[in-house]
Amino acid sequence: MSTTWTGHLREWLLKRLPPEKLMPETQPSYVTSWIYVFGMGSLVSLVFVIVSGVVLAMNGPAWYHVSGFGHFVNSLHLWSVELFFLFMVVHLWGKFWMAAWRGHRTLTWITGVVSFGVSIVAGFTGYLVQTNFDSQWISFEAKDALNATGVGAWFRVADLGQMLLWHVTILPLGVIAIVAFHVLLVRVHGVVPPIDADPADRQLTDPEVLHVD
Amino acid sequence: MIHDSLVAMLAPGIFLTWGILGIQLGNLIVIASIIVLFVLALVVPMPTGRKRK
Repeated sequence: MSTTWTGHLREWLLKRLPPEKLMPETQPSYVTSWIYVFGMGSLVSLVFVIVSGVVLAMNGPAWYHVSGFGHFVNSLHLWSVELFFLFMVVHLWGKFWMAAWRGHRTLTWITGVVSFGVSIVAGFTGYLVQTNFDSQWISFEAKDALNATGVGAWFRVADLGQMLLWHVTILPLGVIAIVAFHVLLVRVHGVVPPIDADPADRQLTDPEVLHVD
Repeated sequence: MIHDSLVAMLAPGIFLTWGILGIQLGNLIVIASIIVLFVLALVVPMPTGRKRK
């Protein structure tokens, strides 16, 4: 038994999330369905979004507006975002209809909802920093709605500098942090079983017998 | 002279309207794709490879 706070923290973390749960080798047989694929699809798309975004940020608009490769990476960034949202919506529908908040998974559901919301704001600021007529139009349409709520006094959508900094710092950090927490919670509680699964199924009662058929 | 990419950017999108309902074609395609993908994910069986413990 540890006597220091770091020791207590380590013991608590190992109890909640032992390495075999953090990086499992097997999954329950009910996971062999395409509907369970879209969470990972969203995650892979997010990796593409971040990597392409980092390349865009390093080279700047004078590069990605003009050069062929810049256009390619810019398009890669856009289409990764399109797929990220597409997969996330299918993931959301799948989890909603299987009531995935069952079995102490409330926080997993909530972090998923929050990550969806923060991703929308991140995507929105992305549209605002295109530095073209589209972004100008979108910001001037949006400012009236945001001003009506009062938030426009601080979150100024027509302020390119502020929107660019939100888009490349706090919003991606927020999405990454919430998604990472969401994935850790999925590892802690395991993948949610189907709604009609037999509660006596040994895969649910004894994690040691997990296997994929 | 107006660059081709600028002409493409200035072109209005294709909008479909039914009475009071209106949607841009690109948005409709994305929404239809999501619904198709969701249904396929439910009905298409996942191929199972080698058996493992």
